Amino acid sequence: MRAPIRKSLRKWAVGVGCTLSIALLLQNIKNSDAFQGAQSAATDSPSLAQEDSSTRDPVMQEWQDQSQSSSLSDPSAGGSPSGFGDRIGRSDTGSGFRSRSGQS
Amino acid sequence: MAACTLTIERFRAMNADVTVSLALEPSSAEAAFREVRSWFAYAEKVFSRFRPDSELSGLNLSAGLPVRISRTMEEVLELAARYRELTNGLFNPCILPFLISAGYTASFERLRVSDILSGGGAPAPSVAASVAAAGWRLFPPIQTVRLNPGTQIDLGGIVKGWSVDRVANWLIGKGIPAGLVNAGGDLRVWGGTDAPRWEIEIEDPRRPGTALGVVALRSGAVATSGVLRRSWNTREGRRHHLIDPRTGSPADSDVLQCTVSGVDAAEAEIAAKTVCLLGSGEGAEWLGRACPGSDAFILLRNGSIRLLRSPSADAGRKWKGE
Repeated sequence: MRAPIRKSLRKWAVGVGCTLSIALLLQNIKNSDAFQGAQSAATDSPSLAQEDSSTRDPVMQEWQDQSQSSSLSDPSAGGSPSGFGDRIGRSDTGSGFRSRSGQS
Repeated sequence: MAACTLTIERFRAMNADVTVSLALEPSSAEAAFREVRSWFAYAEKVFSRFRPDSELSGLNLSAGLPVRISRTMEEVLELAARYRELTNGLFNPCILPFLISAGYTASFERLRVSDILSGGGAPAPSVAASVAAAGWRLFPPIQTVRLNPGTQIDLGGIVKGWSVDRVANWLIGKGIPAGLVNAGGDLRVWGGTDAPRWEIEIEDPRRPGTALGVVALRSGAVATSGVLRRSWNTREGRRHHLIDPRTGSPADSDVLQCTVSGVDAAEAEIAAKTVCLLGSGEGAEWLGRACPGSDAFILLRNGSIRLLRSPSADAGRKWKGE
C-alpha cells in the first residue's frame, strides 16, 4: 500500500509543480513591457472608433450584405462602394435648395 | 456654404419619383447616389406587396405560422405597431383586404380597367371581421413574427417615409453637410445654420404643377397625403387609396390634402394620413397631442387652407401661402 501511495503523491507533486511553473511563466509574460505595449495598442486601436456606423446598425448591415451579394452575382447591379469618389451614371447640379411635396 | 453646389439625381423607386440633392461635387456625389439607389431597391425588395419575391409577400403567405424575419422587417413592424397605437388604430397596416375590396389590387400604375370596375363596393362583413382580428406578434429575441390567422399586411403607408429617414441619417453620418431625399413627396432635408433654407413647394392636387404654398426649413421632414391622387372610378363611385379602418371604406372627411412638417418623414407621413382620416377639427386636436412640434398645412374640400402651427415647432420653419 505504501509504494502506490508514494507514487501517487509524486504524480500530484509533479502536477502541482508544472501548474505553478506555467502560472509563473504567464505572469512574467503579462508583466513584460512587450505585452503591456501590445495591450495598450489594441485597446486604443482606431479601427473601433472609426468603424462604419452600418456595422453597428443591423438594418444597414443587412442592406450592405445584400447589395454586396447582388453585385457579386451581377456586376452591373448597384454595389456598395468603398467610399464616395468614383463616377458612374448621370446627374445634374444646381444651386437652388428647392423641392416639392405632393400626394404620391 | 451659401454658394455651395448641389448635385441632383432623380430615379424611380417604390412606384414614386425619388429626388436626391446633396451638397457634394458631382465627382463625389455619384457613389453616394449609387448607394441611395441601392438602398431604395433593397427596401422595395423587402417591403413591396406587389412583388411575389419580396419578404413581405412571403410573410403574407405564412397563414399564422411563425416566420423568421430580417432585422429590417422587424424594425418596421415595431415602428408600425407603435404608430398604430399612437393613432388609435387609424394607421393600420392590416387593411390590405379593404384595399383589395376597394379595387386597389396592383401597383397604381398597373391597375387595369377590369380591376377598377370589379372593386369599389362596401367591404363584405367577412372582410371587416378579418381586419378587426388582424395583427401580429413579434418575438424579438428569436427574430420571428407570427401573423394572426387571416392577417395580410401592407406597409406602404410607412415604408417610404421610413426609407427616406434611414438613408438620410446614413448620408448625414457620412458627413454630407446638406442634402435632401424626396420619395414621392415624403422628404427629409438637412443643412447647417450657414446653409440656405430648403424651400418645399406644396402641390395643389386640383391643379398639378402649381403650388399651394411653400414651407422653408433647414432641417426636418415634410410629407403629404390626400384623396385626389391614386383614386379611381368604380361602379359605386370614385374610390381612393386612403382607407378608413373604422369603416373599411375610402376616407370621407373635410380634408382634401394634408401636408405635415416635423422631425422625421415616417411620422410626418402617418400624421398627414391621420389628419386626412380624422378631418380638420379632430385632426388638429390629435396632431397637437400626438406629434408636438409638427405643423400641418391643410387644404379643405371647400377650397380654403388651414395652417396648424405647433407652439413648440422649430423656429427655423417658415410657411408661405396661408
